[in-house]
Amino acid sequence: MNVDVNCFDSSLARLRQRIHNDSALQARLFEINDIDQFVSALSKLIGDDAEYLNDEDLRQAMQHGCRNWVERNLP
Amino acid sequence: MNRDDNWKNWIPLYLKGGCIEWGYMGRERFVEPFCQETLQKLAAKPFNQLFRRQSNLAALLELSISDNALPLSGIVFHMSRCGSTLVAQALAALPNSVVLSEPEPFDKLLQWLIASQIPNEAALLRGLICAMGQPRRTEDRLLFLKTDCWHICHIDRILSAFPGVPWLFLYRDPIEVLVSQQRRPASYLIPGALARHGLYPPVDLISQPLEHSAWVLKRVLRDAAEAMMRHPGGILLNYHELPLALETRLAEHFSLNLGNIEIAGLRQAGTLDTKNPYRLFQPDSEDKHADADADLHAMATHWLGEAYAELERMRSTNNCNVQVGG
Repeated sequence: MNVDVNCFDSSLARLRQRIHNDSALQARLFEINDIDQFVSALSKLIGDDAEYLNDEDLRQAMQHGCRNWVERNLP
Repeated sequence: MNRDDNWKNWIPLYLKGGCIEWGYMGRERFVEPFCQETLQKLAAKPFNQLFRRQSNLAALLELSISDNALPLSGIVFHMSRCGSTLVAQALAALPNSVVLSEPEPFDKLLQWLIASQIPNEAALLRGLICAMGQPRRTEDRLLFLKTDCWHICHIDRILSAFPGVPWLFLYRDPIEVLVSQQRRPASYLIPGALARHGLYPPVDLISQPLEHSAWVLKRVLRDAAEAMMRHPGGILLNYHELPLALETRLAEHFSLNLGNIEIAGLRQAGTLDTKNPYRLFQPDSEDKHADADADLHAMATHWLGEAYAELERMRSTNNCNVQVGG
């Protein structure tokens, strides 16, 4: 695993932890249905981690989450 | 943050690999005819694509003793294609109810419990229903579960998690049910699809989907009849008693406190095509009988005639006893 992947994973983990600890933020972000607006809102939150977690990274992580849902019943 | 707050506003979206994937639900409600449609919408939200949480099953043990959970007020078992969605939608029309209609995570947990010895299974089942049925409005007071049709085969296990909760079994003339399956086969009646629930079809039915349906439904009806003898908190309800029975027998059995608003909601639900709320309900029993050919009649009689007659005998006897007993 290269350094960039590690940075990406840890940046995403930090972002997730921040969201999971903030119920008001959860409610606010949950209301956004448009993916572009959602990514834009996240970009503003990321701050110093932006170097390792850009818009394209976020979109790919979302696609990964979407695929996991679709494949939930596969063995 | 206490243990209840940890999963407040989150819901088990799906179970996989011994883990629970939680999605945020906020103040959304289960309003679609089936839970899975709501879960699908939640899963498609950008937030839930990126920020789902994962836990092991132990999280359910905490939730099973949560003070914030709604107690289960009634369980609807059924034979499928028999008005069960109408019943679920009618219960959902009550202004203070939460209805879980065939929740996929509940089915998956049952599969796991059947496949292996998992400790605290009653608490796990209870915790899952608590998690899925969290109150999301201040007025939410009543929680109902409509199971998948094959779950009547696990009624002992389910009622051990919910002792004393009233339940009913809804069924319909087998010819009408089989015609419905013939027109629009359910995926779970594909031979072998219910093996994870211990329903292994006879080899000679593997290539005969409709007859396999009849075989599955025979098991469902038989298990319902046996459950009526083992578990005193149940009643039998025939499709032809609907929709009136919603505000009479069902309401009494589930201890529903019906005022004018509640009755109006139940009646409104009874006028709609429950699987397509933009259309009005059209009675189709005569139409289905007209579509049944001699082979289907023979199949219904062979596999389901006796079991259906037994349920009708029991229903008639129970209704007489209730009337005599006042």
